[in-house]
Amino acid sequence: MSDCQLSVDGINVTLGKGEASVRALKDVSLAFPAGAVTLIMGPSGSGKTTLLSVLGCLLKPQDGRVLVSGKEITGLPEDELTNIRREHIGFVFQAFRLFDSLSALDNVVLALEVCGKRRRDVMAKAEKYLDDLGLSGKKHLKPDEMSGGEKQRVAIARALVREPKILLADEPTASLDSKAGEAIAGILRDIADVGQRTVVIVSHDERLRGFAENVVSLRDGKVAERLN
Amino acid sequence: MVVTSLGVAFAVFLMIFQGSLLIGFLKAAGKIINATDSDLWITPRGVVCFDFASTMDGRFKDIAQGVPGVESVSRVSVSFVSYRMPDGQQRIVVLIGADPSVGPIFPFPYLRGSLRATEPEAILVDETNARELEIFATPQDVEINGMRAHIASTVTGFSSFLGSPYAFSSFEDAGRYSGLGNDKVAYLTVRVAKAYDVNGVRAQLASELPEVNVWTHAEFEHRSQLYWVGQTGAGAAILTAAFLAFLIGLVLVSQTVYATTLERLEEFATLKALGASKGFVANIVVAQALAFGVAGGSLGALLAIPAVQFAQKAVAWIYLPLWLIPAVLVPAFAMCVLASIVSIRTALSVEPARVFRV
Repeated sequence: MSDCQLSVDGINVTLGKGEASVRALKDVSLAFPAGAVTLIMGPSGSGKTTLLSVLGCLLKPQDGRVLVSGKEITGLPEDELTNIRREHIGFVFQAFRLFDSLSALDNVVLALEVCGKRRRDVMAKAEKYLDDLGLSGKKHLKPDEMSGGEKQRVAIARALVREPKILLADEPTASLDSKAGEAIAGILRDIADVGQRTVVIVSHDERLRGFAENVVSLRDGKVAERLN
Repeated sequence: MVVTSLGVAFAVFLMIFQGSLLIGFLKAAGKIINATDSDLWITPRGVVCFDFASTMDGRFKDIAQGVPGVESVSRVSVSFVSYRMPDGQQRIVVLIGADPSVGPIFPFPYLRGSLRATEPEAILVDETNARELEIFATPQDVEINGMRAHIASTVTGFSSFLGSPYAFSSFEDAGRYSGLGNDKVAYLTVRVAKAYDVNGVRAQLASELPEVNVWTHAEFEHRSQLYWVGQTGAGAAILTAAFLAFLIGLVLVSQTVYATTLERLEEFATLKALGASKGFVANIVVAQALAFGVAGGSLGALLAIPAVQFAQKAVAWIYLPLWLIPAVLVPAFAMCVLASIVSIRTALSVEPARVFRV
């Protein structure tokens, strides 16, 4: 796993308490190599989103180990997990999760302000990422003035502007038409290739198989199938 | 946003208005004292404020005059007298008599063009009391305690907060109208010669006049203010109203900031997922509350200024110093920060993992 930015080893996650509790992940061990796209698939309730939450340091497993950039993060306190998310991980969400009151540029700048950077120092960088994603003329538009594909590009720019080595995408094409979805998949593919980043995509979208080196199928919280 | 800003505006408006009442009250309580040109006040023992005077022997003036360092001594009398208006109705007024030497800004019925000679039977009243005393032109003949007097003129800035208007006359006329005569005085004001130390002269006077109290000008002013603000409960009532305004603002801002935070839980979850620190999230909530504070505070201050000016028609002594506005905005902003505490906790406790829910 030496070339892996991200891996989990024997993790178990139980959600809820008492009789309502559900074992969402059962003894899952996976490694996500750098420079590759890993697609995680599976039916609803199979544990895909739970796994993504664990990989994104948003949810702590009850058992097992999680390694991010070679560091075990399993027992770390919340503040340190926040630091790891800030420094190592970028997120792309199905519902974009852009701030509606901010322009595209301000949404990207915010991701750097969260890191303590000053606005005037990061404007040029934020603009460059939007330019690279084909949003030169849309920087000052607000999310509700943009198409789904454009919003997702803004979200990707926001995720990449901090130059994380890991990008986690949750159903990135689900809210898009087929053409826009294909374009976004191509961008995610390029992100892995050009930056030697670890890209993990959770999706139901079968079309994404063609963009991924690795495909992992989950069923009932277990790894059912791995295809390389 | 609008409702919260109005809530803050209401709180700031009330705090400025109540503050103006309190400051005006304090100024009014010391107004007559400050109109005298005095370094020391000699008062009967136990006098709590200027307005509720007692009497002491008038010969104390001669004793005081003989103390080294005393440049001049002026007599002041204070008495409640019956004022008969032209239509026959009567009002109680506070008649203040003084010697001409009491001070150049003290309301005194000097003979026209003189700063020494007194116009006989002349009375001055504040212009804000003219209507209630039925003075429509001066001079105007009136009766005080059944004796003839005339309103020679009106003055400004000497309205009373007691409910009974002040009337000013010479010391001799006041003694005659009140029936106290000229052998009794309420106060003696003392001017100390420049070459002498005021506290030294005060100690000497206290030694020579053990039956009375000797205060510095500032001490007697503070004593009067403390009585009106502290012992009468007036200050507590004004401050309680200001505090209630603060609480109303606090509740309004708290509720709205909390409701806004609940509406934006998803955004806070996204920020946390992006790696926002606790401080970053808290700053957003506080900034939001302070935005309410700035908008509402500005509006409240803008409304309070004309409101106080308007109120001066009915409450002449209300006073709004400019420094009161920033002084009120500070607790208003503190109120907004305080109001955001519960919301900060809510924003910080949101699970970042909810970002994957659609």
